[in-house]
Amino acid sequence: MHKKELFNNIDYAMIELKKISKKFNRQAVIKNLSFKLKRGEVLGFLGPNGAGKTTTLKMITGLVGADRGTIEIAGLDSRDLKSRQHLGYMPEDPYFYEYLNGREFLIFIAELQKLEKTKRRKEADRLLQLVGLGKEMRKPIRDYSKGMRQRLGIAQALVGNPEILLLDEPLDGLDPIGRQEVKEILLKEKKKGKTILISSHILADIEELADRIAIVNHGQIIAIDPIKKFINKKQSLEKTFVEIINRDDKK
Amino acid sequence: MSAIFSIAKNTFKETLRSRIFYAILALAVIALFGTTIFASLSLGQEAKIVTDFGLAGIYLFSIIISIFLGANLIYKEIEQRTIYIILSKAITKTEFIVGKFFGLSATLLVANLIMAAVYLPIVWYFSGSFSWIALLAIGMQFLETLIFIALATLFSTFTSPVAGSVYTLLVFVIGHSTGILPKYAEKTSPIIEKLYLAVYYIFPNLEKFNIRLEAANGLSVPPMLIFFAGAYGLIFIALFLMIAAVALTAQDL
Repeated sequence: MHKKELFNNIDYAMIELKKISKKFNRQAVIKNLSFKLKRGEVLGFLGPNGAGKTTTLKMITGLVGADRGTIEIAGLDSRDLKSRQHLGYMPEDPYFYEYLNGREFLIFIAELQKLEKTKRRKEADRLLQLVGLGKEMRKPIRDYSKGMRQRLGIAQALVGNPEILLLDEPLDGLDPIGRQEVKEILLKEKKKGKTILISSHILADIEELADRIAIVNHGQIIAIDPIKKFINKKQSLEKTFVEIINRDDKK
Repeated sequence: MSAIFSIAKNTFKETLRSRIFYAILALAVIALFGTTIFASLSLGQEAKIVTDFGLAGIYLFSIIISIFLGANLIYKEIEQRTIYIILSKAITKTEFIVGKFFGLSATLLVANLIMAAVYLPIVWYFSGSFSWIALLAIGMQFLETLIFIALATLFSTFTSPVAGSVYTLLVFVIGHSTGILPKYAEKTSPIIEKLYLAVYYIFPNLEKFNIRLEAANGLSVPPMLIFFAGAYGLIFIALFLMIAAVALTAQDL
């Protein structure tokens, strides 16, 4: 099949991790981890603290190098710089240049994403409106609240309209209204056909967003299935999650 | 190239909005005006004193700016985690390092231009003519401070700003002493001689950029000396930036 046809195929793996391993100070933090994300799919990436969620996301972005295994993004090796043009990444607790204002920061990101010069300002303004920071776009980032920083984190991930979003705890620190607004943004992106890998501790929010759930513990995926398999009338996702983790810890 | 330019532009913006930069620059301007006091105390040596002290002042404040801001350059990005968002985009760690270097270099260029704009008219006033050699000396000093920025950038990829500043200052001291090492080496044992020569070749000989004496005495400088010093400086800058890029690439963030 032609590359473009493959790319548009619904079953095409936008992210594929094959037997990834990583050690920090001789301690294995990721062990032989493999999974795929199809085009347009939203995968909730769950696990207790220190399970390896953030490290996995960082490995996909190239911030952390894998000791073994391969990572493909939109059919390209993750070490290939072109693969990152398909990615929008929001790190956990995103930090920005405090001396810039929100608009300046997004224009800077648009430059790095190699957006045409004429489109950068429009894109920054559009995204700031989208995440509800339109009125604060000229305010220095140092004066932003935690919630505003989270929104700016999402906005910068969306610069250049990447097909894949990697979001590390995007709803952390937001009040209920803020969470609802951000979820709506993410649901819109999902409707547009974006492939989203989302790590979160707030399982109720993941229930609303994800198509599939992957549970990671001690650097390994211990469960990966469609969300329906984790939820039933008697049991919430949170309860199922705790049971799976406890069962794995006892092994 | 566009990524390097974007990073450089942003770094330039960052340093220009830093209060430390303006504080150091204000001190430098005051010190440059202060040289006129020394000049008035000398007898018939006003132009020489102003030229010499002024150049030394510009040099000192350029070194302070390059070490203070350079030692923080990459370290701060890693510590404050701003690097995560930047390096998740289609940009290599080498482009990031080079961009940061150019950004801070541009800031230092602005600082040198401001200091030169204060200093050269003072020299003109005391000597009665425009001193091209003093301008050239500022250019050579600027080249030397670019080496310090590259070096401080390298240290900031793997160590704290305090340690990085100390290491850079050590290189400053060694770099200004290496010129005399081959002479000493001849008088010592073969092992010490090799050690001296190793230091001589590993560390940049910073005296190659020092034409302050010529400027103060109104002597000419051979163009070839300027050319070779320029090439020599660029080689060390490229080398330090390459090592910095390797050091950052080897790191998990």
